[in-house]
Amino acid sequence: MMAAGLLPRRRFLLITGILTVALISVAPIGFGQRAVNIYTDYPSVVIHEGKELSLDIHLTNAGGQEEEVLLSVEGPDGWNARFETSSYPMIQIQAVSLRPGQTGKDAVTIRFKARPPADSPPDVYPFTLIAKGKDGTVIRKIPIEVTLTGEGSAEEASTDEGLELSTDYPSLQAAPGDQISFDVRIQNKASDERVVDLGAIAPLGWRIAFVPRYQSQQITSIKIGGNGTETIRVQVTPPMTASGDVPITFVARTGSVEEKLDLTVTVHGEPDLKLGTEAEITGTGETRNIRATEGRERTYTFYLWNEGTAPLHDLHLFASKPQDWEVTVEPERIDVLDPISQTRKPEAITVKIRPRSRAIPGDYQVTITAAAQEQHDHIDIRVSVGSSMKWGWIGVGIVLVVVAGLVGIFVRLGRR
Amino acid sequence: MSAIFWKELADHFGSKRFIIFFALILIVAGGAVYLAGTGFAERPDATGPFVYLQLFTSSNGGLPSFLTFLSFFGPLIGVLLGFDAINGEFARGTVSRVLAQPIWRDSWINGKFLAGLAALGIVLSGIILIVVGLGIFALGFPPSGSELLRLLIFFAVGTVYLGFWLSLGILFSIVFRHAASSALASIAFWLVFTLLLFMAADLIANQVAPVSASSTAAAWAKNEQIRETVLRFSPVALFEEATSALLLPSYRGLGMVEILTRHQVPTNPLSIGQSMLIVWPQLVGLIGLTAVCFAISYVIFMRREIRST
Repeated sequence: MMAAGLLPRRRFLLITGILTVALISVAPIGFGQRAVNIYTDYPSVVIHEGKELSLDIHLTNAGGQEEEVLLSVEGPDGWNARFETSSYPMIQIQAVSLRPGQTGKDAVTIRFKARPPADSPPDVYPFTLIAKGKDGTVIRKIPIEVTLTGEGSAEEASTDEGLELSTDYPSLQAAPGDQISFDVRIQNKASDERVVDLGAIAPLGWRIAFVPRYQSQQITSIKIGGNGTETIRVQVTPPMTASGDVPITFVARTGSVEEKLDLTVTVHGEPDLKLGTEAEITGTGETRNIRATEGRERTYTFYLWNEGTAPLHDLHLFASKPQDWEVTVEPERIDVLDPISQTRKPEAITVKIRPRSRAIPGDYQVTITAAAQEQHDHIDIRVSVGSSMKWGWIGVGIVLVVVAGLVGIFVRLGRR
Repeated sequence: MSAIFWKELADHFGSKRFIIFFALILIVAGGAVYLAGTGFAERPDATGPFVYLQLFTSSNGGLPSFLTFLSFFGPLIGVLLGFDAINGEFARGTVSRVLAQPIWRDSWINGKFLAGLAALGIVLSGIILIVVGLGIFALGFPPSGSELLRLLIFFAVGTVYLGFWLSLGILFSIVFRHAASSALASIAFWLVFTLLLFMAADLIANQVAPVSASSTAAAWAKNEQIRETVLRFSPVALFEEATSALLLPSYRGLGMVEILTRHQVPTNPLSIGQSMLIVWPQLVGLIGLTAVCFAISYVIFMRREIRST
């Protein structure tokens, strides 16, 4: 056959045809110079209820002539038995044209498909695939036995056609506001290439994006080849208010097939202790710079709140103060300080400050430290102690009396 | 005697040089105290329990403390009152006129000395009271009882110290005929005691017991001891030691041992009795010096032949 190129085509075909008739009269069906064959690898198959049968059929043409093969099926009613191309896009076909020499690797592969009716009982259903020549002569009949079993569960039924989602780490830990990524494998169990839409169900405020692996653009769908697997990255950003175990459902949908994968994000909230003065919170009132008088008690209010996402536990308040001062903090202890997003208002802390009597006028520092198990912070208050005016006047009086006395001495004695 | 006392007192308060010196001391001392007070306001935590005493001892921003100032310039005002007490009368030719009055000769010199001492006492008490008054105005609380007591003793020691210089001035005014010689001699003594003796003390100590970085502690102690011994000839050093103990209640003396163990001994303030025990020798020394000085001048004056020329 390889020498065909050297000889006139017609003569060669004639010789081959004669030789074929003369020598190889064992050609199965059909005409001597023709060698069209149609076969399947699996003449007997088993399918589950509700599943579609999909069987590869190969057609070869070992002859020297272009052939057109008409295809038809005999079998039980309602199975919607048909032929389709095996490559994307699927087209239902009725005839196949074969060029001469299409054998071996070049064989044309088509797909026989049949879906059992919904109510068909488990049984053995015979089909006969009939290939006819253009002139109506039957080239070949292929009997196919389809055994329908009812054992297949609905889930198994869907996997055949559908998608399979999996991930190695279905539960991840995150801090609020920090992005984490799940790597999700999507397996297309169907033999055809499909476009899968991606989606997710998450609580309000969660940001979710899908990106292909090793790329950065965000996608909403991905094309997956027949029986292929793609890994995509699900990027999840919990909102600042999130805490605890939060379920997120990843959804992949193609056509009527929808597959869900439950993911869990364990949000480890961080507490964030904050202290602020009245002026910083309300805009009016006292700042970190206050005045006091020696020996006299005054109250000072500041606020304390948790700006984080997890509660603070066992909060103690204590004051470090100059020597001999009296500083009391009320309350001294807070068992649990919930985040401000839950409490909605800061905790007011009252401090009673009493500078020691005989305190030198000037600026002193009182530091109030709030220490919880998780965190601690402090607020520095600058206390300006003023001198009491009562003694101030007495001091001035003493100075005046002394000066007057000295002047008096000078004047009285100097005149003598 | 009281007539002479009042006359002399009036002379002191009427003289311009006294007023100028008084004003100078008042201004400089007031400035030192004011700076010490502002130092408190900047670091109110750092001050100890004896704030009023610190007003007199702490220095801030260049100016020396009131105490240093008094020990250095106080002698000048003392000498000023005494250096021409007797020879000035001779120079003016008023001696015979005064002694012609029906008064004892010793009343005259006693009256002069007491008048000078009273003038110094009035000046010192006036300055201390003004400082305390300003302190009350600035701080807003009065001094405590023990502070007042210490200040009172400080006043007494200060008066004795100034009295020594007064008696030294009177002594020179008797010894020297001319007021200028007497003034120069007084100034020379003042320089010797305030400056030269401090240098000489180091010099002598290093000569007698030389020390270097590798010397033993005993050698250092001996050196320090010699230095102190020399220093104690100076009334200035005695006054500084005595007043340090009075105004710094945690002061425990100048000794080498004290300096070396300062960090190990907790510096709780001593009671006033303990402080007095520490300064007692210095105090006695000061009083003794004053008395000796005055006694010499008294004896010389009483034995002197006075002619009415």
